[in-house]
Amino acid sequence: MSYYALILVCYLGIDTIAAWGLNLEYGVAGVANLGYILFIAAGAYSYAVLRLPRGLDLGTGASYIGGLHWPGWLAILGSVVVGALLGALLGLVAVRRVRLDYFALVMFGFAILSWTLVGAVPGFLGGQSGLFFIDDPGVSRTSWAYAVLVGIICVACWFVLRRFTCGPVGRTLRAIRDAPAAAASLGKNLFGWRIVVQAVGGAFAALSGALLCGFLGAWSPPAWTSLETLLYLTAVIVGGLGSDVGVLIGVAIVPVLIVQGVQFLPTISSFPQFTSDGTMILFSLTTLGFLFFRPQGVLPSRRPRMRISTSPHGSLGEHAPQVATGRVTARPRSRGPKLLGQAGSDDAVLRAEDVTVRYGGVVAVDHVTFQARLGTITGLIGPNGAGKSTLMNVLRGTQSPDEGRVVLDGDDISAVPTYRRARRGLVASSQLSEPFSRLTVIENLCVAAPAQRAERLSGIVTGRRLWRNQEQVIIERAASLLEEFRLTSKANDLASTLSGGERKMLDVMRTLMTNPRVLLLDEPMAGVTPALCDRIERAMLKLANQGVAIVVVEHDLASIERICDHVVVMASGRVIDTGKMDVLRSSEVVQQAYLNG
Amino acid sequence: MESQQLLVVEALTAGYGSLQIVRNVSISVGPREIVALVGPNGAGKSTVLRAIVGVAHVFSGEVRFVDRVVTSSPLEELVRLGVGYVPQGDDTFSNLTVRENLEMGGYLLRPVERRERVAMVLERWPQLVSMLKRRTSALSGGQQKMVAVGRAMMLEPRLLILDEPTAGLSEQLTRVVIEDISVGLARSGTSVLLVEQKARIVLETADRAYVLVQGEVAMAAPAKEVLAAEGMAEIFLGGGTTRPT
Amino acid sequence: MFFSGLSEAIGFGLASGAVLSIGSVGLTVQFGISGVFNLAYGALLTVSAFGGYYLVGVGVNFWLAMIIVAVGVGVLSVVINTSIYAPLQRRGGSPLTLIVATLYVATFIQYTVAAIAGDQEVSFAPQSGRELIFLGFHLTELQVEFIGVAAVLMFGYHILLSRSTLGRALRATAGNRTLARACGIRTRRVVDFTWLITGMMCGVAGMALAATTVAFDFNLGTLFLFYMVAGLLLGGAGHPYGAMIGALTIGVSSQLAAFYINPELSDVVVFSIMVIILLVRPRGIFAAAAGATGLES
Repeated sequence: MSYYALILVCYLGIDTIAAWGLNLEYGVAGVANLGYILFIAAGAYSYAVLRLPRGLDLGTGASYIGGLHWPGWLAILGSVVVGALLGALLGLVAVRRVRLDYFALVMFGFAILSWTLVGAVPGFLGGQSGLFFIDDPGVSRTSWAYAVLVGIICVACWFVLRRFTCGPVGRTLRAIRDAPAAAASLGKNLFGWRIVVQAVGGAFAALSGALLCGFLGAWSPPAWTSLETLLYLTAVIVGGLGSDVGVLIGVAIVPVLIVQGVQFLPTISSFPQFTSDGTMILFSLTTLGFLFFRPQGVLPSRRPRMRISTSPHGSLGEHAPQVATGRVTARPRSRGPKLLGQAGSDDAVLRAEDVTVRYGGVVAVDHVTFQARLGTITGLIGPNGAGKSTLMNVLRGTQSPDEGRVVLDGDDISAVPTYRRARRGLVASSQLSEPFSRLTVIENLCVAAPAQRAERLSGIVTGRRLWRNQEQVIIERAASLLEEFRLTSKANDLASTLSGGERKMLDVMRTLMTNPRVLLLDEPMAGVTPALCDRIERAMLKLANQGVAIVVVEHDLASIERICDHVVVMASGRVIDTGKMDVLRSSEVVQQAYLNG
Repeated sequence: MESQQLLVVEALTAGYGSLQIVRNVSISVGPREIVALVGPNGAGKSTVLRAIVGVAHVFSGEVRFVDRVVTSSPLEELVRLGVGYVPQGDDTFSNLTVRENLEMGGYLLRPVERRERVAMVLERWPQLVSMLKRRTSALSGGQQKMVAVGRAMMLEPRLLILDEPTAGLSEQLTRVVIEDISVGLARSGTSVLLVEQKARIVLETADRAYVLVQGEVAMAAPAKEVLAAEGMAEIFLGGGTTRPT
Repeated sequence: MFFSGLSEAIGFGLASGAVLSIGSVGLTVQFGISGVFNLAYGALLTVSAFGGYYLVGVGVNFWLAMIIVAVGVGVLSVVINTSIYAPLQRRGGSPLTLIVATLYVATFIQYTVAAIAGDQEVSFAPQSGRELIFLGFHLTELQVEFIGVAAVLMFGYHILLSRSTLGRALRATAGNRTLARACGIRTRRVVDFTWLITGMMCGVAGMALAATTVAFDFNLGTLFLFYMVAGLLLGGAGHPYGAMIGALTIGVSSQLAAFYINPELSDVVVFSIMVIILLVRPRGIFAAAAGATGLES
């Protein structure tokens, strides 16, 4: 009986480690790895071939590669490395531009593919009959010492896990999950993070597999059918997607459910823990029930509430006297010292040179040369279909020009991806203003802060100590921005609860958090009431005074007239005129362009 | 007189899920009228439209179309009763051609009638003739809007409901579209109910207007009066807690 | 000798491709109309196979059994969409959540079949009939019949889609559901009807697979699901004509792989194709060639 209890406890620990890895991939980073079992198997097989002596006769006619007869702890370590590498490799290959549900399919297909191959090739990993006679890792698998080993490793995993699922890293991963394009515009390296997540998830899976293999002493294809991934997936869903503690509960429910269920329902194979019919039926119904009625799981992840001091004026509703003085009129501002760029230079910090973009037969942007200078606001106007948004996309890097190039600070950045441009200070807001919907408003802002120490390897390894101060500064900056835009009352609300106009402002605020040098705003005032437009305009003027170069596409010409130093008019893909707005208004060419729509 | 009204909305409380966005809203649209729904962001204007056409959830209240109770009726049934609807954004079948879009608008018609209506729509919007074979995804925003309205007009609705028809359009195009709507459609006897962000332009052309603030009707009057009302400027400029006289 | 082996392989390939295409089209249309990658389709193939097995076992004529099974699975598909997939979507489920849900539905169905039918392999190939030489390929009579059925079904579907009112309603609903409703289309009915006929295609495909496979067990569906997924991905998800061509390609390639390399590894070839397509060209290869007049995703 106590051996039975030992099995349960060990499985609890081993499965929890695996479930944590999957939770990091799916619950936090939003990437469903439906082939997760492959990584567990990779860990198990690695442990086996590292631990087994060379060329052991298994009596089945099958053989295996490796056989290094390493000590237990080294074999486990080796498995972890294999898992991480495999995860990174598959991440490299698969996570590129594939839709998330397609990626899920790819991984699923890959797992089945590998399973078929391993089973069909007897000389690789023991073929269909698998590997056995595998030694335990130095701790007896029939004693409670093994449970202690698993427990200690679990605790260690917990601390490593928290580095990724909590704090700024967790926030960044969740932001990438919610709105990848927006995250990239703010400087997040999507590709890099996804590989990291796959590698860490793979490492966790392999560790779990190694411990399991060490416990069982054997490993073969029936132990890792694609269905097994569902077990862990269920634990994550039932326990609480994104919640580490929840997942622990999920694992307790799922193996317990299955193990107990087995005793009362007919079984069909020699692996009772996993493949009894009735159990599977019950288990799939339960999971569906959770997906329906309680998708957040038994113990949902809690959203962090940050305490920020409220100003004496309080939140929305009370007008500070300044606002009622009406809209911003002329441009009575002084040219402040230029923060960056050569002092007194009039060189354009951002330039589009002879850019051309074609869609099929249509020329969306036709040999356009365009520039923006530090400390100025350049308006980009024109009728619909003029190519303004396309040009903006080329400037921010979401689209590459068919001809021509983009130059930033004198460097050709035409081939530089969006997130790198953001890191160099070229930040854009999008027309769609996607908030990170499952993050709070203030988290949305904090995640945008550039160069966070917490996101570097040193930060992850060292932990809170290294980045605690910087985080505090970031939070304070975010709080003051919220106040400037009068959204303090919504700081701890989920971004998904914001109205259309508030989302626009959040988008603008996010770009402001990045300390941009060049800011591209694509219709920041669309769908926003005049009162809020006012705030956005003031923020833009303030930034320009501080030396930032701003390019703004807008339809509200009154707004353009108020804030822009220089205006460029586009129509049918070409620049048809430039100058000051009041002059342009009376230009024949411009009027014609607008009339023709 | 109530029975003369084309559309009557009484004490409507509506929203999404369990969230109530608009409360106790009452509006009406008479024959050959252009009625505008204006107000600051987040006031719930689009929600009112969506609740009328059955796309948003109605908690309480009544919607009547030509004296027939249609509260929470599905959109496709309302369309068969003579209501046209152009949603905000995503308003055409983007991988179909202009002609196919128009023909889809005439789905309920017999082929002969459909052809006639297409000709009629093209007469009203001759710019579409040159674009008939092009996919709407290849058109500009203003052109797409024309297709969208044309599609809705295929069934010659008695009431056309437009959700921010000039969103994303330049000032010039906005005027064109609004004028089109007011002149062309009113001429054919179609009433219009529209939601607009660009209050000033719309109020210059509409007959009557409702001002929605934080989910409730703050003012209901002829459009010119709304335009001139005191406190209107503050509603749009000052955060929306003051109500106009 | 070499030639007849090759032409036999190709002939088999075409026959299996024909059967796969019925399934692929059904699956891709489900994706097009509802945006759901219905992995439970495979489990339903198994249900069809076993349903047919039992009906034929009690003496029902093969083709009649196919009709009965098709209708049954069609209705079942409508029920699944209406009670599980559509509600989940309405609650804001992402495509990823949906695909995960379909996986659990698949598991549920598959193990219900296993619980009822047990885990042994069964077989009920009806009379294969004589061998024919059809356009230079060696085929059995039964295989020719299935190619015929597939051709008729595909042609019928094409007519439905391009000529009928319902077809246009389908295209509109798949393109923009709210807008379709604004045209007066009763989209709920259109969606239900679509799941009914695609479910019926699943039923036909399942029985055809069972009839042309030597022996099968409750895992039949999973395996062939991936053949069909590979086929539909080649053609671009949501494009029925692409799916037809893609499935034929998969059918022929898997038979050629079995012939040239190793029968056991033909599965590997198919999975590899699927994975490669997803990685390299997820929009599919044949979509443009087949004339993307189908349903866009």
